[in-house]
Order: sequence, then structure tokens, then C-alpha cells
Amino acid sequence: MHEHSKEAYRVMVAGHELFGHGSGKLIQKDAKTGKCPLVFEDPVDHSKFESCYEPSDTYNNLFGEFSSSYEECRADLSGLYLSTNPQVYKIFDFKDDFAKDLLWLNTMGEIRKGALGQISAYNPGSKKWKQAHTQGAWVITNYILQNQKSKVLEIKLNDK
Amino acid sequence: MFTEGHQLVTNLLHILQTYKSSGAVDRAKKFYDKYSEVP
Repeated sequence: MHEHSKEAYRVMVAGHELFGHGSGKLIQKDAKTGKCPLVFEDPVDHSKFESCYEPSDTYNNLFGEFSSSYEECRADLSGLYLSTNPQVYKIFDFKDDFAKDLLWLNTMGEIRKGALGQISAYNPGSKKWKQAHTQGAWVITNYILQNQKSKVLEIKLNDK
Repeated sequence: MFTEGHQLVTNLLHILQTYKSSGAVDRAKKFYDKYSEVP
């Protein structure tokens, strides 16, 4: 398993950089009507809401201080999601029987990054990782921990 | 991992993408703050 971890990570990075950072349409306010063109359903609480970007808005100025971490997290998720797509992993000469291992290897790499991080990159005041990639990886780890039905993941802190 | 783990990855990507595309920064911040805190 370990012998393929570098090659598996290459699939993840390709998905992260090319599709993760390279995608994601921003919905703009309609210049003619002055209204947002879409009504969204919130994937968390399923409420309906209208929202969009003003002409002067950019993603970075709207999301501010958490924009970098949020974007790295979204790009990592794109990499994880795409690493199980045959059209993607076959570019890197992986066969179908290795798809499950690809997801396992890349997810474990993500969890190692998010759960262990680097002590110097931790802010005890905010109780958050300061480094954008590390914080994004922790969000993925924490989301799996809090929403899993079975034991996909188990982390023990301080021998508790 | 391949079934439930993949579904969780899909769900989280869907949430972040919806908030980013719509510019719903308040919803995004509330959600992201919850999961970015290290216990």
C-alpha cells in the first residue's frame, strides 16, 4: 500500500489544482433586473435562500479571513472526489481494482495533515490551525468524525 | 471508506460549493467555524 502513496497523491493534487481551484462558478446579480438569478437550497438545513455576488464583489473580499482555508478545503475535496473517477485515475495508469485504495490512501494523507498538523501552525487563542491547507484538512477530518454513521474514522486524544 | 467515506466527501463538497457559488458568506462562516475548531 505504502509503495503507491506518492502516485496516489499525484492524482489527488491534479484534482485539487486543475479542477478544485480551476472551477466553481460565482453567481452574479443580474444587471438588467438587479436581482439574484437563482434560489438555492441550503444543503445543511434545506432552507431556501436567495444570494449572489454584487458586480464589485470578489470571492476573496467577500469571504475575507477564512477565504484561503475554505478554498483549500474545497480544492482538497475536489481532489478526493475525483481520485475515484475512472476517467481521472486512468490518466495516471491506475487500474479499476485500485480505486478503493486511492481513496483510502489520499484520505489518510488528508487526516494526517489535519489531525497532526504542525504545532507551530496552531493558534490556541482561536483553537484553530493557522495554516490554510492544515485548517482545510482538519475541517474534512472533523466533518467525517462528526457525521459518520459507522466507524470510518476514530481518533483518540491524550489516550482518552 | 469507499461507500460512507466517499458520500461524506461528496456531501461536504456540495455544501462548500453551494455557499461559495451563491456568495452566502454568513452561512459559510457559521458552518466552517463549527468544523474548523480543534477540540
